[in-house]
Amino acid sequence: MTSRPKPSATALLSPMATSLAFLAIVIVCGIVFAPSFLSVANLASVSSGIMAPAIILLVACLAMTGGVADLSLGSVLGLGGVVYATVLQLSESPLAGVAAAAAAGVAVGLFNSVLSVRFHIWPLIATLGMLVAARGLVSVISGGSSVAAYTPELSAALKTAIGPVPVVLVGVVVLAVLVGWIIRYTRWGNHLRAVGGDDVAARRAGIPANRMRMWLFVVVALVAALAGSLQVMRTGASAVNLGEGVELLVYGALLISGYRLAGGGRGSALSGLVCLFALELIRNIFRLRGLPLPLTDVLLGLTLIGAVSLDLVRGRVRRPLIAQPATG
Amino acid sequence: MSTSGIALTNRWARVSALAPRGHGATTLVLLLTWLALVVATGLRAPGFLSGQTVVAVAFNMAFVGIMVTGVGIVMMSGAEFDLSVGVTAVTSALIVAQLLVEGWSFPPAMLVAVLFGVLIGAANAWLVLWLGIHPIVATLGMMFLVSGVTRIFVDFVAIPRDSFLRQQAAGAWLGVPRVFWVMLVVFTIVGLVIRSTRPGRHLVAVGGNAQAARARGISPRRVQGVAFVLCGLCAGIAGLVLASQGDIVQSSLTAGTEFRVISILLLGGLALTGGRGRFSGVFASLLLLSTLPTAIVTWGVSSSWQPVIEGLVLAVALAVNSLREKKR
Amino acid sequence: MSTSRLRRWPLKAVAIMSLTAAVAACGGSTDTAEPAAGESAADKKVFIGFANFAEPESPVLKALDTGMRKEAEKRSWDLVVLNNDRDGPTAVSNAETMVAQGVTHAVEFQGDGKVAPQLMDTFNAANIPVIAIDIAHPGAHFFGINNVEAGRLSGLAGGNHAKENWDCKPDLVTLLENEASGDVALLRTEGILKGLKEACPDLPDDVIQRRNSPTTPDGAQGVARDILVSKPDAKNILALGGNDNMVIGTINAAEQLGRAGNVFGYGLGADLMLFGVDTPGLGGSTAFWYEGYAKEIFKLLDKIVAGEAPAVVDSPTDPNAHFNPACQFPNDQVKSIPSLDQRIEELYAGDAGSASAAEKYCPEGVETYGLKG
Repeated sequence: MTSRPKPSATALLSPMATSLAFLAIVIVCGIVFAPSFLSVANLASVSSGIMAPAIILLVACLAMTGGVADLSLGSVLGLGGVVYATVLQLSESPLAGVAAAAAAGVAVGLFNSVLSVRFHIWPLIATLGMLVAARGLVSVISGGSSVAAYTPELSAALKTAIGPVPVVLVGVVVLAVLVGWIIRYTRWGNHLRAVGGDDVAARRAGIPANRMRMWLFVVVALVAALAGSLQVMRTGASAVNLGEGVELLVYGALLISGYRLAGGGRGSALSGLVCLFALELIRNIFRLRGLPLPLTDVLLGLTLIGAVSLDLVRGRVRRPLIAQPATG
Repeated sequence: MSTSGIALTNRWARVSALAPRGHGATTLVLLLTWLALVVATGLRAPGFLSGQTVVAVAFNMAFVGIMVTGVGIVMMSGAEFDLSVGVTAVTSALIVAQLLVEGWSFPPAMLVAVLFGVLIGAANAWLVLWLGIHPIVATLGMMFLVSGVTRIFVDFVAIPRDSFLRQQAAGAWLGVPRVFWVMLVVFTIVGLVIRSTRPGRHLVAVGGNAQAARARGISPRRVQGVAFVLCGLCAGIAGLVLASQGDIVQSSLTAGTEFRVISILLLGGLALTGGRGRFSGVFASLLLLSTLPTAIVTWGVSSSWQPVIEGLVLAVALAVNSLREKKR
Repeated sequence: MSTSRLRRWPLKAVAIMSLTAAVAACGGSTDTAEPAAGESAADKKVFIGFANFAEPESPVLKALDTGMRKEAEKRSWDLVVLNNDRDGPTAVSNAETMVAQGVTHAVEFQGDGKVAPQLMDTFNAANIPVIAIDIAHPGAHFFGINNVEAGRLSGLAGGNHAKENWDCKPDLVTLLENEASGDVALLRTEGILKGLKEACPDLPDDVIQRRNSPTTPDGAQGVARDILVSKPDAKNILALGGNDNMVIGTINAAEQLGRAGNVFGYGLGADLMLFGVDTPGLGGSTAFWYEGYAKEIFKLLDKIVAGEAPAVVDSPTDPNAHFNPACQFPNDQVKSIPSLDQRIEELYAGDAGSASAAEKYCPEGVETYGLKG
């Protein structure tokens, strides 16, 4: 850049500021256009509805900081859900269900990590295959229908609230702070940022970049599968299309909050969460107003393009004109 | 890197020796696999080796094949993907169908539909090359925009049976559907132009090494811009093919179509980073992946397995692709 | 050429324009009745929550949507319309949204029977009576199509054609279903098989090819082509499926393979056939008359609101349940009935009588289900 932006301008364009501004605009729209949206019950419903995406978003933050963007997250969420539900039905033990879902997640994560890290394939591309394959497995396992797994106690537990605030929301925020802390202040977090920012430099500094990436893939898939079983605990059944499009919601939110697909970026877990919340509120307002849902697609498209342009305005993406993905 | 890492590296070196050398070999391996599939299926069910299968596979190839050609140009030029190609084709099909319903004659209706494709291609080029948004994000955003806007306005259009499009395009020539010949002509022209003309060589040069191409006085931006526009043009033509095939065009695209397009290109040996690969290999992979679903029915495998198989095929294709890149 | 040369003006413009447009879209106008925020519970104005099966893109869902709005307007009741997006979990969260908004009565249309108990817990906790469309929800008034019986009508029509023309020996019966549609798909398939066997009890199972298919025309064509190819000698082909799209797709596929001569298709739902999609070989389709749903639902709601407390029948196999009548509809009679827009107009006009859509429009002498008299 020839001229440095003034400090005040930089602050205005910082990820957290823009994310909060985005949320604020959405909330104002909500208040103006759908007054009932502010009711405690509605907000509680929205915030517990984004539980699974929010958990995935947090772990996706970690992974993206290290340069791993996993497109199969939504399908793995569905896989975790259907595995949990099926095992629960067979064994009648939620614990066994969760363990099985976790195992499925780890297996998928290992597959992705071998393909991407060992064969040096850009993560976003390497996980494309799993996006489709895991979704197919959901159909194979469930025989193409949904699987009932209603456990009233667990479902009720996940819906408990302290006053107006749902417990899961508190949990998610605590997790977000934890993830933010890990990324900023721990040795591991430092290494992670080095890996995401500059692979070669990280390797020269003696950081085992490949091993870290392999771990990231496994952790992301594991958490996605667990989030899937949590989701099923809450709603009482797994569906064939459970989690479809969650990856777009999550990465959309992360891109808006300043993360970069190629790795690194200057977003934070909290700003990502704020953006996710804003996107979900938009959907909620649409529902309350009975607006056509394809309009949400239009909106997501516009927001993606708009957010990335904004990121470029911030002058942080130093991407050469021709994309050169990190193929190792 | 740790010792175990080195051991693994050695092991890949051995594995990579098995990977086909050169692009002619890719084509050969794919064709042999295809032949094995056809022979095995034929032995199991002799009725499979019939003109009926040829027609069915030709139909499977036509619509997807034209989109593969378009995205192939983009990939070759080093601009990665165009994810919006499928929904653009669907919208083109709806446009031509609606215009025919309203009594337009075929040539102007066709022109409008194809121009729509070109327009979307140009918009993608602008977003990616002039604004510098990553192609995946830009074309994904475009995909949502186009499909969202389309679905707000149209659900389906019934194409008049007596229209030129249904009467002519639906017929066959030499026992093979006309839509297949359309695809073959588009595919061959593009393949030949890329291989043996000056603009084609420029495209490959830009995809291979943009800096070097620039040094030779070729403008990467212009070349890639043309690639996106041509891809849009192909999407428009694919829309015409889609509209000619049945009585109805619906505003939603069959799930997984974009994924199939990318799988075919990668399996066919086009390099993700651009500049390498041959269209003959892409044709072989198009043939293989279009025969697979028709053959799978004969084997009595549940159709739920199809996405699982396709996902794994893509993973293998990616691994082979990457091994080949490593040898350079 | 480096990043510094990227022009920033257009970037800023695009960023600001897109974000503004995105946010502005939230405020887009709509005719949904918005419940007044300050209304106290004491007023107890009737406030209907309606969760539709999916985005009202298809004419059937659009017709249902329009009907619900018109009937609510007629009674000046408040109405909120949500979208279940063909997805059980979404339906659960929509139910929570409805409760949160304080609806007094709920009309639920979602295809996943497995989340029904969970969903009903949500409504029961808030003491909201529920009418469930098409899929049984324990404790909710069932209303709608009997998917099994509707499937049976199509299966019967197809079976009778096979009986009269092919001596109950078709070479191939294609039966497409969309697994992702959940129980609806399974129940319809069950009914189709039932009807088929009713007409042709000795029909061997191996001529029936039951396959999962996408709901898109090109997707259904692809699946049907592959089935037809796997049976190259089959001439007399019966094409059945979970909706019109799949059946028409099968006929189109047979045309592509040059085998349309002896294909007989019978659709389900009549959603495309009644829109003038005239495919040769399509004998007819079982008409659901979705456009009449809202009318029947509001008749039931009237009773509930008036405090008559009609008995809750939650099972679609119970003859006392509230069914929307359905009937077979031959393709050659499509031109004899008014267009959908006109039918909606007629059904929901201020002075429209209480006749249901099936009573008004079903032709004479066809098999019907749920029509009295």
